[in-house]
Amino acid sequence: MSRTEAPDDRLSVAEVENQFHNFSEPDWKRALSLARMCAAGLTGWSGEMLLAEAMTKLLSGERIWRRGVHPLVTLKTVMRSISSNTRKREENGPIDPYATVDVGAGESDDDDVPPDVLTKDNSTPEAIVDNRSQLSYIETLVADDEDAGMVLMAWAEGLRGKEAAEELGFEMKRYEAARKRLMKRLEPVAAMRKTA
Amino acid sequence: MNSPTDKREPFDVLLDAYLEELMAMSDADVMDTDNPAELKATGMQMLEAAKAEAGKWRLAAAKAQLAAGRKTVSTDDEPAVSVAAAREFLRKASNDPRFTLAARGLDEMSDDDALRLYRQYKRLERERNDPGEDGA
Repeated sequence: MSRTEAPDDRLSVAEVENQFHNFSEPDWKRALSLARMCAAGLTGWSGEMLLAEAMTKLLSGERIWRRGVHPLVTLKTVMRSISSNTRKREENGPIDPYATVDVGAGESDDDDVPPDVLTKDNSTPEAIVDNRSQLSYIETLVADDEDAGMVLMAWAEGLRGKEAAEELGFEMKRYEAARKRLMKRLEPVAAMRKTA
Repeated sequence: MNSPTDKREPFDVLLDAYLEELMAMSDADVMDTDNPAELKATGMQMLEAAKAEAGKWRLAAAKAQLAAGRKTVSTDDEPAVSVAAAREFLRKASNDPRFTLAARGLDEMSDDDALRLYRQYKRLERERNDPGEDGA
């Protein structure tokens, strides 16, 4: 059978393994940070689980690592694909994992009246995530830091660096300080997913 | 003027910006107060676990492929299809709400997986049209 694409376009399993072997400590940190962002709002998944799944798919050959593509770009594509597929499956499934119900609420003493099952309204940061708004959830992390919130908004518009600073009317020093605080604030996404 | 990000979900745009920030940051900034040895050990543990799991997947895939190959040869019920045609078919099928295939996943899928998924899809279609077929 003829192939439409040259095999050389893809890393072999051994080459994929070698890429991971050569990860430095900061590379692992970057990969984990990225995984945590991708897993934000994904029920039952931590960033570590998502990264492990992506690595397994790449090492098994189920997902392709294009030659010359940066490891983080490859991982982001695979992890985003996994999270997107998982979310889609959950949403199309018979049970909505994002719904929370309160069984027994409004129960009466009358044996003939079955207990009600009411939907609970938990407007916590976690519930916001579970209401399918990853961006809204991340915005809550910087709700008390105006500058960091503005940088987040700029990123969500596809602006970053000098361009974002100019658009926000920030001097670079102010932008950098806000950017660093934002990166710090994004870390708790991991802790929340770990304990979920 | 429309930018390439206009049609994308805001979270995807944010994710790309976050990725670029991570790549642009110095190693010292990225590491901050983290313990390098601990991070490396975590990474290596993940790699070893992923290798072991991937090995099992490859074995299972090889067995499934062997079984599928035998079935195809014996029943001759699957018309030959090119990888490009299978991918095009799956791309269209990704818009079918009955299936959960994401179009973005298709681009990273290997040729073998694309063909396998195409065959699965076709088999599902046949079973829907003729529910009694399996019992034959």
